[in-house]
Amino acid sequence: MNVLHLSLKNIISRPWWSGLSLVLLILGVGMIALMGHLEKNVNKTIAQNTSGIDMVVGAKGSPLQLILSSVLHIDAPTGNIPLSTLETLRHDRLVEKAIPLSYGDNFQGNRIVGTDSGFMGFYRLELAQGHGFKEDFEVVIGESVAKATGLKIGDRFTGAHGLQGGGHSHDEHAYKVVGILKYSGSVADHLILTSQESVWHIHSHEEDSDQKDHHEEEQEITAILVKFRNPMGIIQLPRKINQLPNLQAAVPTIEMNRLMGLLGVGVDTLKMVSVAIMLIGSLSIFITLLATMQDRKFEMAFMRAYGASRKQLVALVLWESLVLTGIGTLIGLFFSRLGMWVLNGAFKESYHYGIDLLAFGKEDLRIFLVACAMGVVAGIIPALQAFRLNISKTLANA
Amino acid sequence: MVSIEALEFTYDGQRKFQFPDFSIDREPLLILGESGVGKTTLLHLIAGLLRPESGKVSIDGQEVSNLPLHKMDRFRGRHIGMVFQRPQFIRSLDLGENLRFIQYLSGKSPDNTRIKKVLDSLGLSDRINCASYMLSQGEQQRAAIAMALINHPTLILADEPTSSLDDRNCQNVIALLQQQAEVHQADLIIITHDLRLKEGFTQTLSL
Repeated sequence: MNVLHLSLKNIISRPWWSGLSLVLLILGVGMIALMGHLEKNVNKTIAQNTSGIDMVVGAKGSPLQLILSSVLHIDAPTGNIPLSTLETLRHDRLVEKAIPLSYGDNFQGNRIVGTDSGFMGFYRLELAQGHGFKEDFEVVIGESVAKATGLKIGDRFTGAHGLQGGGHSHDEHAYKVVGILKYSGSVADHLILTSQESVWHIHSHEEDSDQKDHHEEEQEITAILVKFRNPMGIIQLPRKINQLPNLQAAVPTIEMNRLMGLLGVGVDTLKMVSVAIMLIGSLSIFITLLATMQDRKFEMAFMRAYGASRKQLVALVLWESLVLTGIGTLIGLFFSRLGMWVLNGAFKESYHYGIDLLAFGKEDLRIFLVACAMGVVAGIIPALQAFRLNISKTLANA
Repeated sequence: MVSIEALEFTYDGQRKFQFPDFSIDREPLLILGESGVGKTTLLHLIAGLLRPESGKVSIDGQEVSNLPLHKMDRFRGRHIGMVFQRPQFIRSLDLGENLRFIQYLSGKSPDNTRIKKVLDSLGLSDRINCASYMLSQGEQQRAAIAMALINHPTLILADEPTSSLDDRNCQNVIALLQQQAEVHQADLIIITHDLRLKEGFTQTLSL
């Protein structure tokens, strides 16, 4: 039985007041931590997937959409561009690498991307099993795709038209799995890679059978990922491309900064609301301590009469505030992870992005320390009252 | 062994109290006086809850009136047990925990046998896990005595311990205090305006 123990007993002895303070703290801390964690993870995911991509070339439209579709693979493409663009870019002395992307189909919601063997090197992908795609309709699948669909080397499947699950399926052409990638933490985990020719064959065949216009069309691709040879590229090429009809160049870092700037307003507002809730939580602790001080005066004077020092009374009051704040904060942090877990499910469902869940970082420690500081501040005035208590007068009036 | 000498105290520089010298050694002392003559002030001066303007208070040879504040707290915790007119407890603790906390405040290690013994001697053993506010009034008065005794005090100070009690309980409480003081070999000072107590004491002092 000591001062800390007594402070716990005192907290429990006023369950409604303590409960109110706890709920407010849990809500405030939980929301702040959730926002912080979410922001960090989104930033990390974006950084991971945009690194090495200096520029994306695609059809005219929203540059943000172009980046979202061809870098993060979460939006519809802006349209198609002629294959000749790829050759032009590859001949530019400022371009180190140019990787084509062709979309069209999906398998159970996982995008089938027509590209060339350069894609693997671009994302530094390694094969866990099998070999890369060589023949038409051979595919290499990402680690998450393999897990989610259960596809193995040698399995055959047919893609469905469009980029979301469902849609008309190309039953006449089956893809064959020839390789499975190692986990990379990048978008490639959720992709099915194949050659461009495979994608073209499926769709041109379709047009043949539909007896549509039969004239020789130029082959088309959806977008090109570009890595520059040197920083001059970023200055010259985007401008040059944007002047061409039907083509646009988007720079991932610029577009992502723009996106985060837009989201940031919402995130900041939510953070501010959470801080306000947390402050109200501290305020409720302060008010509780202050309000109960009137009743506890006698018991405090009595404790002094039995040898308690002023320091011990101050410690008692501060502990009550600090313990309540500490418990509220810890539960809040726990709830933020619970929230992440729920959100993670939704994220995986709709965007195929996983978020690492339980890592407690510096950010959480900072929240915890700030909350504890707030707990001390909330306890200071009541603690001072305990310090200044006139024992003799209080006991005489008891 | 308690003695006071030329003790004076002034409230707010206006109401001045001068107290007669006395000294006791194991013989219970009853201090009688009307309201407002400074009985409680005297008790608080002895307990070190107030600082005298001049004069001396000694308990067991230790002059306490000039001990620094934190040392006085410590001394009070170890040597003095106080009983108040209205029994006081820490509300969030049960009776046993109240006693353990008072042991802790005096700086002694927790001693459950002592707690059991004191509660036994006051007929409260079965109330050890009872919340203080659930005790009956008579039990509260006895529990208050248990609180005063738990740390083996050498001095028990009682402030109007009987004023809210009927005749029968009044006699019981006084008998208990005297008996317990004797068992624990402690000095006992009771202040009261309750003239019913006069008969039981050989040493009385009127203010």
